[in-house]
Amino acid sequence: MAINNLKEKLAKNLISRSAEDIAAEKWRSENWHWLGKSGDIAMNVMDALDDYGWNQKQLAAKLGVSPQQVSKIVKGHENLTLSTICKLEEVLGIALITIPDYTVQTEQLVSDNFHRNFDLDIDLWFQSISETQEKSSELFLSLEEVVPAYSEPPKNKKPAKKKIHEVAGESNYALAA
Amino acid sequence: MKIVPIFADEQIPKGLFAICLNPNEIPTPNEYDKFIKWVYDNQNLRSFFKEREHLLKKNPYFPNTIKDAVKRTFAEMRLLEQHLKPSKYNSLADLCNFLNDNFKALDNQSNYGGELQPSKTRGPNNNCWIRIYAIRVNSEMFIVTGGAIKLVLEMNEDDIVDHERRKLLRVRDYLKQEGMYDAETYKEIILNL
Repeated sequence: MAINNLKEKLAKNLISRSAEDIAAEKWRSENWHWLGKSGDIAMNVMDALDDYGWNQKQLAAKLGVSPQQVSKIVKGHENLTLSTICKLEEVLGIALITIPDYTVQTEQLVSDNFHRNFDLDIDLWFQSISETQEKSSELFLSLEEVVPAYSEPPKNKKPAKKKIHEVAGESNYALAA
Repeated sequence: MKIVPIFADEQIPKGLFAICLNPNEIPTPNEYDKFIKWVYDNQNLRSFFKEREHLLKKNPYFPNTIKDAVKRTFAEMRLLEQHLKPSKYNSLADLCNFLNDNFKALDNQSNYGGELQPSKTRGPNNNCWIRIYAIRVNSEMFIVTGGAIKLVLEMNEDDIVDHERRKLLRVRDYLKQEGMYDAETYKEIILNL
């Protein structure tokens, strides 16, 4: 009786979820594997913009793209091509991607991917955080090394920020040049 | 205000719903999707953490950098979102069990706060700083009113979190006014306590 009453009252107040929101959820789930990396690039781009005192419009002009595209880049929603990444590296003078040597050991690669992409079973990740340090050793590296964001509190020490020219020195683009 | 089914069967009714504060807007926004969209935007998160660097530094789970804080938030949101999707479960009833177990009373001290209880979830992990807020209509029906990144102990210590608290109360008043509560169920709960 009570449920029927609730159902009737709900029916009067109900509207559908928008098609845009449903599509956005589907898009996130289908593109999750690269969204983490795009987010990392976005953060570096925004740091560089702050350092130069540029706004997104100025960056768009320098890149020769629309301000809308730059907006997508800084949101971390853009599936960037290598061409765009190289252009960003050139214009901003920063390194955005580096390719590790082929000879790097498999275990290191696994832990790198774990850290960079959150592309492993995320449940396992969180589970391991709440478990003991011994448990975390199963993930090849200590949890602190793999997921610095979850280091044991308190840890308020900030690493020194790399200067742009130092980072630029490491860029693939610079090496290629 | 209106109610939007997110992962729900409105015929029973059970599952996860969300409040829509501006039903006349197109496309119709709801507070669940609005919060998720806000979180999955690096620009928003970076500004949020930059503005709250003083709170972030006091937080026991503060990572080394704002970049790490953003990454952590992404991962938390992803985990929570995965746990709220019916595709993770065999049936809607299983999702409802998860909701019932994980939406706790807003006030940590109380287990049962009466009909249309303001509730929160941080998902399956207790160390999360992300919160989704909802009104618990009964053990199977939850109406999301919003979400926040809670870096402080008390909700009133940060404007953005306090805004969510006020929103919860506003939505509860609206649901009461519309008679959207399951009085019989609550009578049973009270008798069993």
